[in-house]
Amino acid sequence: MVFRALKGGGFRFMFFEQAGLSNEQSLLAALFTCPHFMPSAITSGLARSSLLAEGHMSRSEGIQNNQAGPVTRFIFFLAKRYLGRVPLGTRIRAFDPKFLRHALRLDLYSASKGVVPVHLKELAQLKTALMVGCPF
Amino acid sequence: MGRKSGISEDQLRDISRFESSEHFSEQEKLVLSLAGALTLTPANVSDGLYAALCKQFSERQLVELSAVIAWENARARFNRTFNVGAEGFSEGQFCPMPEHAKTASSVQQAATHS
Repeated sequence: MVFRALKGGGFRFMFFEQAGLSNEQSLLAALFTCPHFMPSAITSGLARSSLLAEGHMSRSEGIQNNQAGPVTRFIFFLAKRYLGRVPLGTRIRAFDPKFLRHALRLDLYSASKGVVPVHLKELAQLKTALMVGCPF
Repeated sequence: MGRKSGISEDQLRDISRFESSEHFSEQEKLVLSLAGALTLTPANVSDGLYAALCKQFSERQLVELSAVIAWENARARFNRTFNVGAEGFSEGQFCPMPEHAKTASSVQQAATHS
């Protein structure tokens, strides 16, 4: 698996894989337990600030727990465990489970330790999100 | 976001005017310039910025940085379709607000000065 080669997530991936989880589940579990995991990096809808309290309305409520398949529900479970709730962006991505899974792989790549220091990657992500207009 | 990895509150506060801020190193300014250049449409990294980046980063590092910035663009733009707003994950902490669009020239100009 290519994900085993990713620094930072490889050992956790193998741990979860040996614990009996499928490749997909191991990947997700490794991702959500990664110490360098950036909540905002993984769940595009993770926006942050107080716009919600000011009556901000999104255009979709996404997939709810009772509508989700097993893999999606597992992703929701991990998100809730890590973040306290499932971000809206993750629920919206879940309309297309294939996209949800592939997006998570790229999220894992972004959040994993690489050849660039994590704080530089986070600075770049923050700057990008601010320019695009993704609220924090 | 970023606090655990060492991004200071001063940096968060100055990120929109990083070119003139004393809270960023040269390397950090280059990364922010690259993020700006790749996020504007049309995306264009000037020869000057690329040359400056090559002095600080290897080609492998530039690949990783570009990939991370490109993916962040995809994520953030995806949310715009559904008007996904803030969900309060940074409630009670300082959070930079989305920037107004800058012109391509201002970002490129900043890149060549850094």
